[in-house]
Amino acid sequence: MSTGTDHHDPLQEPPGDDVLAGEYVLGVLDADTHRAFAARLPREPVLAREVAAWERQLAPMLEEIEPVAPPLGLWQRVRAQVGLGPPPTSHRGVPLWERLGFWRGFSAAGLAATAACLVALLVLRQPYPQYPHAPHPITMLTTIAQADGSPAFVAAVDADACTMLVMPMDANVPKGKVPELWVIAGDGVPRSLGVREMAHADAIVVPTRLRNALLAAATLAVSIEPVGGSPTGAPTGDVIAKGALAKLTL
Amino acid sequence: MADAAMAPAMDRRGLESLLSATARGDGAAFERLYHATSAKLFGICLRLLRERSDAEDALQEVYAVIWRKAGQYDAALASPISWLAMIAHNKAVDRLRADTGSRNALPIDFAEDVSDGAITAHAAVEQASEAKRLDGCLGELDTRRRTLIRTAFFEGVTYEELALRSGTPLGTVKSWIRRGLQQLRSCLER
Repeated sequence: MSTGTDHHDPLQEPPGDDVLAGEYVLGVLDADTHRAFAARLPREPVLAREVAAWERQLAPMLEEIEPVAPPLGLWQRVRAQVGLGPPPTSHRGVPLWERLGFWRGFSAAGLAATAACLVALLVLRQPYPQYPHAPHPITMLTTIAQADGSPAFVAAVDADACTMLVMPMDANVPKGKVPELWVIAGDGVPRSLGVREMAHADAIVVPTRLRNALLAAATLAVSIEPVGGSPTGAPTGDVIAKGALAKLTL
Repeated sequence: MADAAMAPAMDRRGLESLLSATARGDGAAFERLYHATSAKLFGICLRLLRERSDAEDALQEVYAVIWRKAGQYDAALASPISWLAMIAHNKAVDRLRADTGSRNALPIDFAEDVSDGAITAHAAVEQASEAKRLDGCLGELDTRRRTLIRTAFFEGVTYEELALRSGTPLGTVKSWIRRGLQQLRSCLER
């Protein structure tokens, strides 16, 4: 087929590198061609410049995609992956609601008032005004209380149940045993959220299959298990504390 | 500034200085860069990958790449947010290509032009004008070429999938997209 005076024949197989670079950036190449092209980039600077030019030209299309706040725990995963080590122990850079002292201020009686403060803080401290979705707002809270009413843990869950912040309070965990956290939704079946630490607060990335359970009116419970957690997938020891997640009305 | 959570709204210069500090291995700058840009990049991963857990894994990879390649950012070639956004797009496409399962088989309808040209109100003026220019050039394309290019870019689908979903022969789809890309480039370079 003739294309007359066209500098490049768009139907030519394979197309010229300038067109191929555009196809690569657009993302239309099949898996093999895509991989083969990517492999050329590190050793072909001219090709890499073609790709950069297409990226610059097509990137403005991404402007129209709305920002979505990632789950809170993801930063810790990134940090660990790039080898930045454990989070700093000082308060520098740690959001207020992840700090120990702040959570220690909770008590079962003061929960409602404190929750209101927390919401106000989240609103006031919204750090990136250009992205109205950040930070991930916390929308559910509970004190996981023991029989005497004393809190074993305090837990907060974000709007789409991707992240749960769990703060240990003063759970009575016998030596040589560990506390395991469970979510119990409408069907009454406890599903594990893993063995919890008593030493520090955790941000848990909630497994996808448990998110719906958390969004339904759910109860959180803590059982006492052997080290490593329940061997059966269901609580095997005493359930020492329970708490129903309460939705915050914003 | 002592508190990363209090990072102010980032303009181009702010992001550039965070990128160059990140290139020098400054973990605190990298953290501020993450907090200032992760919502935008997560939105991109989620748009292409649709599955939330996939998008989370992709975002983690994206920031690992940013940490490694921050030194390669060239202010003469792209704005920082465009450069970061394309890393996210690229990683999401890599993941789609690695996963052979077909994800979206919705038919593509050329009669219904999906171009909405929406430009978010949050875009910096400079970026908004670039987006406007691209939108203008996309608008000059034949509806079918524009629809295919937008679908390809926002869904990360291959020529084969585009052909299948639009009920158009593969050769025709390739021709439309290649001609569309060339037309777009000459419009943008005018």
